[in-house]
Amino acid sequence: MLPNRLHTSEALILRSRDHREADRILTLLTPDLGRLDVVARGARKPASRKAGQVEPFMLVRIQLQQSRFLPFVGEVQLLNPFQGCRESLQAIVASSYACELVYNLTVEGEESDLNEEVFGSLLTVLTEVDGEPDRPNLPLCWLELHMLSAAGFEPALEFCVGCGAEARPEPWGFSVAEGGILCPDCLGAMRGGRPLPLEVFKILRFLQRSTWEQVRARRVAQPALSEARDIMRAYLNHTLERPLRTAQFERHPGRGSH
Amino acid sequence: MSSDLLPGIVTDTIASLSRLPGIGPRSAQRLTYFLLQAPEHLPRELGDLLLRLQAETELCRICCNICDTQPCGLCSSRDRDRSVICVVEEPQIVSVIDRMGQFNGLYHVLHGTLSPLDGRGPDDIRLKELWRRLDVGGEAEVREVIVATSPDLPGQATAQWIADELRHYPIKVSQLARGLAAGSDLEYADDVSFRFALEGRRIL
Repeated sequence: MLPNRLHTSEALILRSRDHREADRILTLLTPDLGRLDVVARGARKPASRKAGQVEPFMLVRIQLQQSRFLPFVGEVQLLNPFQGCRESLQAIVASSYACELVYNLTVEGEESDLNEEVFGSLLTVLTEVDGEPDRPNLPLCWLELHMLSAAGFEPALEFCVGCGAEARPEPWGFSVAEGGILCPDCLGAMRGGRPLPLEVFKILRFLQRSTWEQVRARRVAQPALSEARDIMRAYLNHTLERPLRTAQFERHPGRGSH
Repeated sequence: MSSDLLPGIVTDTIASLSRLPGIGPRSAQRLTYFLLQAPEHLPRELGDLLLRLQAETELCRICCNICDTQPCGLCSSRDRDRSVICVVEEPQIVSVIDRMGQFNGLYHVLHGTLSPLDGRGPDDIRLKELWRRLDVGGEAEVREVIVATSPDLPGQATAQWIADELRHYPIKVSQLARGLAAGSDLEYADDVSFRFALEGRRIL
């Protein structure tokens, strides 16, 4: 439901699916209304002026009109096509993963103070992938931690989730089921915990506490970052109760089945 | 529509027709009344053709296009250029491209596109059949694969996947040009189409 009969907002297009003969249903992420579905009438016709401007990952200024079904798209102004996000398979997969992550950790039509922050986080990540499509791991891991926090599933990285002991700079463990770190005693005693190397722990805590500007200014070791992403992916799968669809592409981008 | 007003067979036909793509309840009703009043041979012929449609067709074992002989007429033709394969999403695109008369190569029908956002992976479309055609022992003389997928995100993901897979093969992979539609007015062109048109400009 729109606040007014006509509403204009900036929006990132999270996904697009066919509707009837020539329409598309778009899922938008806006800084004011959060996530919402809208109908772009005639967007699949070759002559449509909207067709080239309502693809996933695009940043647009969009005019919406209230209707009985879903809001209709009026005028669209393309602000940034993020063309780099669609010019290689790795960039397509990374951008799709970011959009699917945000889609799954937001609720449609929810008015929240965090809407602007979530919008800003995704915009940041798409900007990074657009500029450096070969190095998506760092912005994606940062987005995973910040989206989990925004959705209320922040992994506990300050205290042991088993006994409450304060984290120390030594190798601990991580429990996907308990959603946080485990001290060596609890790691041995609890089932399902996995070792968490100190370097990986430091990366996770740094990413969780930092803005993107702070993260961008620091070098992060790639092997440890990959392991941090593996842990976050396992925690996300547990939290969402299923793997993200794009994860299968992310693990094997471009590897053939023949 | 109340079932008391109409015989069950009429409402069932309307409901059945409205399940077809592009046919809403009103169109389904119009078609049903047309068939009710049409000469008797017309619905009989239509029903017979509908029954035979699936029974008498299959997918070509080479190009995966719809056919009634194995291999299909295009794959078995001696007049086609066997060094070029045009990869398309759906069978209906084959006739769109072929009726132009500009392309004389072979086709491969994927029956869909890759879509990371929808979880549609390489095993969900006919890519294995394409690799089989290009591998040793297959159509070894293929020199170019033209990816003719739609200029949207799934189409682009599919094209990139095919290009990545064939990177180490001695095969050129190309993609259809994108840009301004013929007969359109520049004033109304969208930014993305114009950008592609500018990038793909030709020297005169």
